[in-house]
Amino acid sequence: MKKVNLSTKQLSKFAGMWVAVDTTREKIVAAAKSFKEIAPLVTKPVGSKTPDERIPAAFKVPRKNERYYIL
Amino acid sequence: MTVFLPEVFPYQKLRGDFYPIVSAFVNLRADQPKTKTWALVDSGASISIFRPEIAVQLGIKIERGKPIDLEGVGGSIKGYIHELNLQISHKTIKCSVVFSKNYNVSVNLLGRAGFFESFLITFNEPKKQLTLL
Repeated sequence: MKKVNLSTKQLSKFAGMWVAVDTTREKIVAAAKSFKEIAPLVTKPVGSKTPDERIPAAFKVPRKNERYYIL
Repeated sequence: MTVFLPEVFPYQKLRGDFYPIVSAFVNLRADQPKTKTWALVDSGASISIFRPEIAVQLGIKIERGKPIDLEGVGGSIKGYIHELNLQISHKTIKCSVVFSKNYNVSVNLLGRAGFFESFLITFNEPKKQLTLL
């Protein structure tokens, strides 16, 4: 896992990777090849006093060849 | 009386296109850790479908859910429905979510069942914002 501090406007730099996104600051805070690597960042344990908004969100950035969704 | 204000989610830009994406905590039960993830709000989807990695994180055995065949423009895949707690904006709802090991789309999709019934949803395309109330 690589820790970063980049605007979510730069999500496309991480095509095909899992990222952890600070949704309050709209920043990418970590990137990894697998979800497992960022799982501790995006999971809130029972009893944790960390405010929900401080927990980053996991997102798999679409691959470069994955553009339009018609599902 | 509790008054909830609408929550606004800016669309996210991916390679030149904007997508209505919201953050949601998910878990199986309230006494379990919850995982936060982004999901694309998809009014064209009958039901939600999330990445299989989320199921693994929540300790879900995918094939133990209720089987369903998902039909899309691109073909059909076999999936399994599970009931999850979804905490989105100010609400926690029970929502059917499909998991499939054959789901190759990168993003989680929030479809109509359970989710659209629980919120007033506004897609503001000119402002590139989604509002939940």
